[in-house]
This record gives sequence, structure tokens and C-alpha cells, in this order.
Amino acid sequence: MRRLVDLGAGAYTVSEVCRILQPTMTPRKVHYWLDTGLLSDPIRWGSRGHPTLLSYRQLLEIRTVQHLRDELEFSLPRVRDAFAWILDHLFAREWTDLRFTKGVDGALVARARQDQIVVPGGQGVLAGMLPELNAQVLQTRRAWEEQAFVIPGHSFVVSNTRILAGAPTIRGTRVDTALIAQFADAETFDANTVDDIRRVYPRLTPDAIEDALEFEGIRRAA
Amino acid sequence: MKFLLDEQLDEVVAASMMPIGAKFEDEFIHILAVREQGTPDDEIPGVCHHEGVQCLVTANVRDFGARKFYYQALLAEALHVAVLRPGKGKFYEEEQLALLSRSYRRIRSITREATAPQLLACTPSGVRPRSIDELIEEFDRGRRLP
Repeated sequence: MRRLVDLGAGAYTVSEVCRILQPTMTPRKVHYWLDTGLLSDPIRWGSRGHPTLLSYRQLLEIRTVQHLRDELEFSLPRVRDAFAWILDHLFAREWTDLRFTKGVDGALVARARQDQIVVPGGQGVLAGMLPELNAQVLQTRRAWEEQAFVIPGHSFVVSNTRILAGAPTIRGTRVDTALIAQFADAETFDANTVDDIRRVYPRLTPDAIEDALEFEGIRRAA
Repeated sequence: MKFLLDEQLDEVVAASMMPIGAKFEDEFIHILAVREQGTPDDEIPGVCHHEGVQCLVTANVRDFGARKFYYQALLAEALHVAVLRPGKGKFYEEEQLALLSRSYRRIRSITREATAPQLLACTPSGVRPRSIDELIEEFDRGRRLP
């Protein structure tokens, strides 16, 4: 029997990826990176009435580009080739201990086990950025191996490919944060909202519920 | 027929559906009655087969476009999947029970007549079935070159 998505593998719409990588990710950026070939091919390209479906690998690719671009302030056109090389090798088994160093003439050198290679187009990477770049690569590798990661800024919210195909859920449960958000009347919540939700999900802690609500953009009432 | 309610739904709903289902010799169990929280997707078919369940009942309020292909993977494991899709508003146990009990007879008649597993989107306006083949066709129709 053909399966469109394997059980245990992630499948995300572009809007869901943006929700997970909030607040700086936008559908326009994702589509641009997809259309210009920076990212690997999606599970399915979208068309009218059919959303583009992205894999967990692509979610991590987008997260990596987002981090390098936004946090380290790389200019994407300037280091595009280097980014493409990093994304191509980040998930490869033979590059599990991938790390970067500075080579002669400011070249970016990738090392894994006994191998080393000059990254094409990596000259724009300043030596001072290497610790951050290596930390990001390590973080992505870990998320790839675990097939799950805690969403930054939300210690109770995870995207785990084995739970609801990666939909944001409360850690350790199958409870979707979108369903939790359904209980809030407006853009804010208070203690009564949390109590109401605990009536339905008594096993969830108030902290987890509040974190899920905040992840969904619902703020605590002043 | 036996139904397994996913962790998205209140445990009370399974208990409340028992007398309704009993008239038709159907049973409803909640996943937390047989497994701990956070059962992975890939273990759900095993739980269902072990418990003699034919239909998983779950809920969804967003990104159904992505989730239905995950549901298709469950269909490929010979399970029917009924997805409760409430409208806007809170989804307390009363609303969960109302939507499931209102959809139940239709779910039952569709699954009894079906020759292959069905995805059943249950909304306040009715139950819409989709077969594996329809989902595959829909998925393939979405393909295009970049």
C-alpha cells in the first residue's frame, strides 16, 4: 500500500513552518528559498487548492538559513553557495561531526572525521562567526538525529515527527497547541482560561498550557 | 466495532459514548486507558490492533491539508480514521461528545459499507468520507514543477 507520508515522518504546510519558526519567518521567504533551489525539494509542490508540503528536513533547512541570516546577519546572496553546500551536507551520514574552521585566505573549511574540504563561496564567513555557525550546525544535527526539537522560547512546545507528523504539540503528549488555542476567547488568556483547559486535559500542567497559549500568539491578560 | 479516542479528546467522551455504542455492540476506549501520554504515531496501529480497534477518533483544528496525509498513513495500516473538526469556539467535552455522537451513525454506516479504510472528516455540518485512493489522487494532483 502506497503511503504519501510515513508514520513517524514530519509533514508541514508552509504556514505551519512559519508558525514554528515565528516570529521572523514568512511564507514569502519560504517560497522564495524553495523556488530558487536553496532548499531541497518538498514532499509535494503546491498548486491551487493544494498546499505545498514540506518535510522535517526542510523545516530544519529553513531554520538553519533563518538563524544564519537573521542572527549572524549573513547576506544571503553573498554566501548563497556556501549555504547551499552546508544544507547539502548537514544531514549526510558521512558528515555527522561536521564543523567549520577558517582556512588560508579566509576560506571556510568544512571538517568531518579525517576529511576536510574548502566550502565553495565560504570566503564571506568571518572567523568570529565560526563558533556560532558550529553551534548552529551541532544544534541542527541533534534535532535531525532526535527527529524532534523544542521550539525556541517555548520550553513545553515541541515539533516531534513521531507525534501528529510534527505538528506543534505539548511536550510528552499528543495534544496539539492549536487545539489548546481554541479554548481562548480572544487574544488574551487568564487563570480561568487555564482552569477551563485543565478541565479537558487534567494531566497538563498550568505552565505547559500557558506556554502553548503564548506559542499560539495568545498573551496573558495584564 | 471498536473505536479508540486519541489524546486530543477528553477521556470522559469515551465513557459517555459507551452506552450509545452499546445499542449497536460498539465500544469506545480512550488511548490514555491503555497507554501513557505521548504515544508516537507509528505505535498507534499496533495499539489499535492489540486492542481490536477498527477506527481511530481524533481531532484537528488547523493544517488539515498536511495532517490528512498522515491520516492516510494510518489508513494504510487498515484503520479507519474519524477526525472531529469543530467550528470556531471552545471544544469542551460537551462539544466533543455532541460532535462525535452526531457523527457516530454516519461513521458507522460508512465504515460498515466500505471495502477499504476511510478518512472521515466530521464537522458540525456532516461527515465527509475520503478513501486512500482519493487521497493519493489528491496528493498527486498537487504536484508541479518548481
